[in-house]
Amino acid sequence: MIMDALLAAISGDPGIADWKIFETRKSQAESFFVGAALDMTRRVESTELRLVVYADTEEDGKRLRGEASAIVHPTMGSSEIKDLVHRAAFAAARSRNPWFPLPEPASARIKVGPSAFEQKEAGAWMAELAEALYRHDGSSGSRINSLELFLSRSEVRILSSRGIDVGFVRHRGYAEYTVETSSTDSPGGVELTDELSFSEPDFGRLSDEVARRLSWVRERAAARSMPRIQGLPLLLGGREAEAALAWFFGNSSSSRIYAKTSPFALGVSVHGTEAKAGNFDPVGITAEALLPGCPASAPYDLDGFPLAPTPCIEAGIAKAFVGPGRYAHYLGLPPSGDYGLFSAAGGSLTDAELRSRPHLEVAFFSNFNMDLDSGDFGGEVRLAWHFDGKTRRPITGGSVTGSMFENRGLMRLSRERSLASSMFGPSTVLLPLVSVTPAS
Amino acid sequence: MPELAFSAFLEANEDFLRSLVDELAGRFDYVSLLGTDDSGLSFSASPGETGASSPMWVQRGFVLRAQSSGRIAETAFNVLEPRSGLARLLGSRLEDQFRSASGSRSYPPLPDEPAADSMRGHVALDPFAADPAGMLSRLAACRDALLAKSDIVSARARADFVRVSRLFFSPRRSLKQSFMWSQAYIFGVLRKGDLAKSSYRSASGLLGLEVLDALEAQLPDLVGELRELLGAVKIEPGEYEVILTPDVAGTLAHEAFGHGVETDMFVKRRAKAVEFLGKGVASPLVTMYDGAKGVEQTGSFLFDDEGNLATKTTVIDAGILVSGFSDALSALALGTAPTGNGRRQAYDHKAYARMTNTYFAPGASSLDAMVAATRRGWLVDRLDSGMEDPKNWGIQLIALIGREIVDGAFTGRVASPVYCSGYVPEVLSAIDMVSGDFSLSGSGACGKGYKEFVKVSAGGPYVRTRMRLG
Repeated sequence: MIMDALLAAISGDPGIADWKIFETRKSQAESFFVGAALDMTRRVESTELRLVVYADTEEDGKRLRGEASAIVHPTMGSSEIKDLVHRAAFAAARSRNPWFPLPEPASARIKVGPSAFEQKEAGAWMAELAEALYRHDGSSGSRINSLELFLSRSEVRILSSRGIDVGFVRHRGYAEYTVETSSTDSPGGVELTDELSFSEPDFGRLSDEVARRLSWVRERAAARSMPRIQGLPLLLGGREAEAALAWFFGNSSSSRIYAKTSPFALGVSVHGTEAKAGNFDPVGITAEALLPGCPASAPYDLDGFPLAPTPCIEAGIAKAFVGPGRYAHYLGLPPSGDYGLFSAAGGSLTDAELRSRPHLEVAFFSNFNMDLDSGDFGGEVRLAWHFDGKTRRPITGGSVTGSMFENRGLMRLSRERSLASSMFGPSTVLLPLVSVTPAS
Repeated sequence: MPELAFSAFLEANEDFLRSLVDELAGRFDYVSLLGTDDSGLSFSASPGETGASSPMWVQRGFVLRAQSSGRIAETAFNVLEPRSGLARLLGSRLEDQFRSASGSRSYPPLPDEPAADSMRGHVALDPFAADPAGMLSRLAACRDALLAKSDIVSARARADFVRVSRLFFSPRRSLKQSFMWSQAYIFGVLRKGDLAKSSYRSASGLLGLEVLDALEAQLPDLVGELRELLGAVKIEPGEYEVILTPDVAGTLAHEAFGHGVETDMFVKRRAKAVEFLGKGVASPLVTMYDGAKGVEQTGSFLFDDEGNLATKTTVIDAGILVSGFSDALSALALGTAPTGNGRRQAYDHKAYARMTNTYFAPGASSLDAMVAATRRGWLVDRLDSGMEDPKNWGIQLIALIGREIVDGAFTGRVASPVYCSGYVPEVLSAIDMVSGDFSLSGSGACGKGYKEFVKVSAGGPYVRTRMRLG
């Protein structure tokens, strides 16, 4: 067996001080649709092992640790594995970083799953999933142009030289789809492309999400070009609201603190020194191991460290940094684990109150870009609504740009919360200082 | 330069893989197998750390494609056990797929024209034979050179080397290729109070360790640029004359007309370009190509992931939209010849019509003449990202730096970031000057929709046009 051969190679290499292995055995079904017709199917059965080895050295009385990782394929023979492990150990010995410990074995702190997808194999769900996604196809003149549907079941196992041997099963459903409708202004019609991740057969959620996009593409068809707009706040929802709050979550990463790319410091406001109480809704960010419906939910991080909800920012003040244990060690902080999910506290105003004043609400960017380093954000607008205080009109084209550094002391968050992609948090985020480039 | 060796693993299993195809050929109307063994090395230096790892492109596995009564199915796997019954097992899996997808699309018969070819690339300095210490210390030196400058709070350097080995078998085709591509980056982050800006330099190509020479040579220029960014202004939103540097212009080509002429988009009726074939879509100064053949960069290869030989496609010829480029299935559906653009992120991903090396042809102007001709505009440099809109022809390009030009001369003012948008035919029709320069950058990756990343390159000359900036 590949694992036995790998463990034998590791134990036979004296240069390895510690190691960890992340094994994934995946079974995936895929269906590709053009219009409502099935175009082709695919199946994937794969096993992959990612090995990380650590080599310890000493220099001027300082203990140092280097690391190197390698992918181990299940078709590798024992001599090839031995060679791969030796080369990784050799490379690890060449990288000399401050020493850090690997986590010790610990029980899971939360229970994840099992997903209802566990009831049958992935391929057997495809027809029901497709039916749910196509439920509103063709409603009121908009339709699904094409859809790609994936459902995988992965058995994950994490082992380490410290005695960690834990595992869990992950289900990941994913749909990428394009909706379209005809338009009097665009002879070929207009379209929107979106994606959807899920870990449970929540057919209602899938249908509702597609129905919303079918409705949006009709709005895009009726949209006017982005006019010249000045001085209006920007409202973001869904994935873009998540991106705005992910700037706070991402900069609560211990690796970014260590690399000095984060502007945050413990005990200090993440809204900046200029922010005046009452002018903004202070953010509250919690790193999460489990968000129901999110495929990234996991009881352990890649080191095998048990995850549990960890408040990073409370009432606008940085309280903890999360990330791989090595950075916590470097920074002299308690280990917290590395998280891919987060929740964000609601704000002081309702969605309706945020929308009651003139604003620009962007529902769909071509590709919303948020730079964690500079805080610069923006994107070309595919669908937005301009509310002038009386009328709400769909608009398209042009672009919106801004800076989180300029907005963090003025932003507002909705009281209502919803699930985005990797966040459960405010369904609407208001950023007051943005620049709008008209469409023409 | 020494020739790169083909994967010993694929070579050792060649007869067995061929026997899988031969055995399954009797069960289906068409069968082919792609085998991949792409190995890789990645080295990095960030503040206080160095490390070695495997780049995301490392893979070893197989994908079988079969056709039965017109329908297509694929199964991907990376275990060759049980050796004796594997063909039977995979055949049954494919038959299950055909049974459960009985109503799926019927394609014309997949062609299987005879072909036998092989290619082995060359690099001057093989990173797989080098001591990692040398690479790590060179990257650490790049990092430290940036960190030694005041206000540069963070820096990181990275180099990836990928040795690609692929084989493709069908009953009448036998193709093999091995080559290496590499990419290297150095990033710097500058912070002063609440102002934070970043920029980078990159190098790429069908290169070995020599890619680091190309990276290191750009370091002084990056230090100077980061300093300039401290004084960066915001661009007042509006339409401007713009000069796009080769990497930004290449991405305009890639996003504006590259994605829009991927012919699987034609099949889905997602491409507005279909309506414009044979018609003018750009200034007569614009000629645009895509091809894995004809230039040497990270999008170059002998054959694609569906066993079709690489070609060079003229997409736009003197402003006229001439042709799209295709994967095997969209070519079948459209009744056209495949162009060798069927590419997969990895063996376990579907093949799509994808770009390879995409570029504008050089023109006759000089950069100096382009600057001199600009009354009020910006030179847009240092690509961050781009996004396509094949149906509605919107375009988004994000660049990290803009240099203001007024009355034919640089003013010294810089802006960061620069969001460029526009309507594709207007942007391409407004191109009024194309420089004689030519360079390709292959340090990025291209996605299709939200996923499916493949290595590509883009570039060409400087181009002057008009875009909306913000």
